[in-house]
Amino acid sequence: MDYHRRYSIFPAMEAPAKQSPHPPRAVGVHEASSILAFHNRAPSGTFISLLSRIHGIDFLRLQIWLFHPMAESIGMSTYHVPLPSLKVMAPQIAFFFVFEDFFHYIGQFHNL
Amino acid sequence: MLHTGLLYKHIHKIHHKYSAPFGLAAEYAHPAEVFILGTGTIAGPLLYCYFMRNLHILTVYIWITLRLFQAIDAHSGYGMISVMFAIPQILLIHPCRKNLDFPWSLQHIIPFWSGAEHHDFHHMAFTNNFSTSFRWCDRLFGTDTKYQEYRARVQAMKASMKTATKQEQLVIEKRLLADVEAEGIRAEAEAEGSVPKTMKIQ
Repeated sequence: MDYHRRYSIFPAMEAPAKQSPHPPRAVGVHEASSILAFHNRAPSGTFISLLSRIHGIDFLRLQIWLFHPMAESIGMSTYHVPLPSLKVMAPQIAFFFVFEDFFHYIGQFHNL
Repeated sequence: MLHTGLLYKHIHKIHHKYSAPFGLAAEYAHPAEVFILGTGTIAGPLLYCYFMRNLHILTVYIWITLRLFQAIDAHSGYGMISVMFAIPQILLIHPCRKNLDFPWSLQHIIPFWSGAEHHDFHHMAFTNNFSTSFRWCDRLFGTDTKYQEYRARVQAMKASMKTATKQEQLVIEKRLLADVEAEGIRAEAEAEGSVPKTMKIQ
């Protein structure tokens, strides 16, 4: 954590505690997973935390609480393995490129 | 479209601040524009997923990353692969670099890829070349007529000036570009409504 703080673009809001009166506890599985699940905030020193600070929105929380349920409700896999192979992804991404290109011409179909 | 009337004046104008954009200018835009154009980026995966039912979120992340690279490529003035090699320079430097087209730019490998040259013309001429990734849309919808004319003029100029030095050719090409830019400024003012219309705007 200290390493990230030192190199974050904005200084940390609260200084890290100098010396704990208690000896350090072993980090349990629950605490580790709670960090991974972003129950607290986006990890500092990362691009997404910079975005969060600029916009005042926690994008990781937005993604997990708003986008992921919506995506899963229409059948998107989010945490599932195995991951799709390149052979599966390439045509899908190609379709997205073409779709977006035509999306920009919605107001122009009378020109066809 | 974002290039007409109130929508332009209040939203898309911010993105058109630079008539010769550089890499970071790709994302320099109004929040409402990010929402409108972002719909095109997100709606593709969502619709595909809704009907086909086999989409992983990793695919969506890769798509968004590639789309971001595409936007930077189109606004950088260079080419796709050069973006990979020189990210800081491409993002930040705003050079007079109209003739710095690398032979390994993606549009030389995939002829219908828009690339920087195509999108630079959009930021100059304003009423042409609205496309994102591929050139075929503008051809289909007839929104690249001025771009085609400009290309033809440059070709004709080059053919008639075979004997001229490279330097002289560049000077004339610059003059042609200046004409296009002046016309673009005029068209932009019309779209904003600050001068009366003289012609139909796409």
